Amino acid sequence: MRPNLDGEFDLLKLAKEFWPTVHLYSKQREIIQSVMYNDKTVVVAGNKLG
Amino acid sequence: MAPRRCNALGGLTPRKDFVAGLIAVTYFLHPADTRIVTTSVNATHLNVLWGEIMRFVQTSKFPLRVEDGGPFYCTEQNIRKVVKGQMCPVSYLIGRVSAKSEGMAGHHATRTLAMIDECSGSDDEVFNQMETWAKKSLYWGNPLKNTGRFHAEVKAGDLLAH
Repeated sequence: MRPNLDGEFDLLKLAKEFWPTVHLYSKQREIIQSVMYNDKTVVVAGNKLG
Repeated sequence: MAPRRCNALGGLTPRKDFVAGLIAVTYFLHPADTRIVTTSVNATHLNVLWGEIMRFVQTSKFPLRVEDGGPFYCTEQNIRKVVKGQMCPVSYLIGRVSAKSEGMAGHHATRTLAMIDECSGSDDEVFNQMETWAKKSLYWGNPLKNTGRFHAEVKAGDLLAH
């Protein structure tokens, strides 16, 4: 169960509302959810993948 | 108690700047006082992130720019929020390039987000300074070095599970 957002917006819902044609795949949604629910998010790409 | 930290993913390239741009704009939409500082190793790299930020500002279904009736007053790598017709004296979404963390301290507000791109190239002091005020942090980049703060953060993994 996700922790309460405590007055914060659900960034994924906001994104869907403001940019309805933008499709986010699972890993992108995971990053956004992590920012919503955690104090710190670290995203590492594969070496030389861009 | 909310998890303190999440190591979001590894080994993939999820168009990180695209997602970071979306996070910056959506997080800044909240009506409360909000300060977001974005930084990268150099101005060229920061332009990539800001290209994504401005693309989201321009392509929103609802107008975001003040000129179009929205709440954002946009200048070069600087977005201010207009609330009830007045420029919010606190909130901003800005880009800063700093070799040794100059200008990275003191961005305190009700809601704060530190965003560091290309973290492998960022000086550890940039992390230290931003963490003095940031309530939320987003670090991303390629694992180009096996030393430094970004390497340590990646190696630490998830501190608490969801």
